[in-house]
Amino acid sequence: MTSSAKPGHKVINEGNRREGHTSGIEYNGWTITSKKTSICNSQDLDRLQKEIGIPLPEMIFGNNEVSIRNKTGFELKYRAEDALQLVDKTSESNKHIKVAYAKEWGKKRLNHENIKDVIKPYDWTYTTSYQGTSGNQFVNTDKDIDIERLKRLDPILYYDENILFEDELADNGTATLTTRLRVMPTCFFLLLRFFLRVDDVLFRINDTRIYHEFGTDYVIREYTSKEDHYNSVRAQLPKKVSEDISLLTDPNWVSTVLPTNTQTIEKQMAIVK
Amino acid sequence: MGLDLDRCIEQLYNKQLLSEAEIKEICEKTKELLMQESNVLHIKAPVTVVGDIHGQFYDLLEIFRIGGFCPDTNYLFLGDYVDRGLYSVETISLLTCLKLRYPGRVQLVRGNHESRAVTQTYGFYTECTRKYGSHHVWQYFTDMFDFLTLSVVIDNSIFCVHGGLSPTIHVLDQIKILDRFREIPHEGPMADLVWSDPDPDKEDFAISARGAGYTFGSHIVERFLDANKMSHILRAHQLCNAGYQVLFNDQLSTVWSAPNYCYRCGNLASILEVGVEGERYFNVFDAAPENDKNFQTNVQKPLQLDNKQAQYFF
Repeated sequence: MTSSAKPGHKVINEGNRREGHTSGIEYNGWTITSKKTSICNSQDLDRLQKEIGIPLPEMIFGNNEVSIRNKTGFELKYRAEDALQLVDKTSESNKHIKVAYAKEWGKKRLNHENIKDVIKPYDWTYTTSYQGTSGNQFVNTDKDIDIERLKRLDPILYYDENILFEDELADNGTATLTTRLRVMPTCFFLLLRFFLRVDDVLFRINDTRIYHEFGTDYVIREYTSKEDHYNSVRAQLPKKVSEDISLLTDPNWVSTVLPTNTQTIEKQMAIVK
Repeated sequence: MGLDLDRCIEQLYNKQLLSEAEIKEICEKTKELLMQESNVLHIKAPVTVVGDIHGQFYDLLEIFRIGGFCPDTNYLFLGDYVDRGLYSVETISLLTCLKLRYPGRVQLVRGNHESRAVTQTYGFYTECTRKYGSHHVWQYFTDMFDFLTLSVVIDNSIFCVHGGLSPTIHVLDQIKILDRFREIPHEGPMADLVWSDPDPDKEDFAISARGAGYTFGSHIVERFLDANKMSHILRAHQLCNAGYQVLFNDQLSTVWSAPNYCYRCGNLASILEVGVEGERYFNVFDAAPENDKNFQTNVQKPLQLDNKQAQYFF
């Protein structure tokens, strides 16, 4: 966090590691906070398991929360539980990955002829189209996030990263849901990223971007979803490090090489009042 | 000749890397030693059992501080020494030296991360090349991993393994006949021993929904213990916030020894002290203070270095 003393904003810094630590900022009528605590204990896990109804990710930060509130009552929150509620729990859930990537997946899938009991199907990749929890209505818009403004190296009054859940897919890859947030003198910006890597099968990134310019009366929400075959992404590793595949664990790098021509985009906004 | 193990151990306790030549020699000698071990190694209590460490070297030192140093305390490590944490090289170097120096008092079981394929993705490969400038050290260690034993039995009554049971293994003799001197295969009994998980809501084996690996339930545990005249299964492999978990009417324990896993989970860790009467005591501990000197005291470590540039994401 950068905390250059600037008139008009107040830094929030409360609590401790065991009970939960909240950082944040009050600025221009907005209160933006990020609470971090340890992964869920077994009681929390039992409760969540009942509510969500699928085996939970290995690391679930069920008590973490990112909150963006305006004094007018506008509120947007990011919570693991709400994101996991959107994971497909139907018997259709594995279809997508099986159909689109049948060749790779078929090779990967083991032969279990003698075992009859299959755990109830669910989308074990934990893919979620979660865009945040809000009582405010978002409607379609053609307003754009001002990328040029975000590229400027304006002072950052508050910066934060928060992990909501993470699973190693039994070491077959990774699924993570994280937020990154920065508040500048003229705007704030949040990126919620679902990142999926299934080794030898595919990569997928679902991004939600939240953007507000102080002085305007709306918040823009942009959602994109893009994916590609594992090998197509791997083929783009820099040649000289092709034996070192650790870049494939870096969502930022993967995001730069996933094709955008097939991605879905939704642009919406909500009025702050 | 020429290899001074006590000096190497001293150096590693101070977190100084050994030379590439030393690692090569140590791995060669350790392979010779491990080659003699059965796939089911029988040992006696008292012994302190350690779960996943994942390169959290400061926390390994903390384990020795609270559990006693070698060779005063006997140790059984249940695998997953490398990957994820920042000091996999230091961790596996120290454990290998201790095994070589005190072979009867330090036992190393293979975890699913003691594998070429997994370490290429989860950090050990990258760390080796970063710290030594080539992948040779990674090669020496991963070649040595092929020789690690698969399971340990304490006083004929506690079965210890990294992951869990396998649908193709009913009695210990079926483990003994496995050809373990190889990379961990994708499927079959050797894979199951390092990969599978218990499921307290089930009775039998089940296939995980993602189609890789098994879970095993209460009947499977009972049947296995009964068939082998044992009383308890002890395994690692699964993160638990309290540092340990006991299931199936005290017939199975999970021990987890990486506190604040990945420097961001905020969980506790434990080591399990098994006494001569078979009594089990979980010695619970938190992340070592040295971790904080190297990181900001956050619960979560930022996904990337907290440098200015990285903050300008969009």
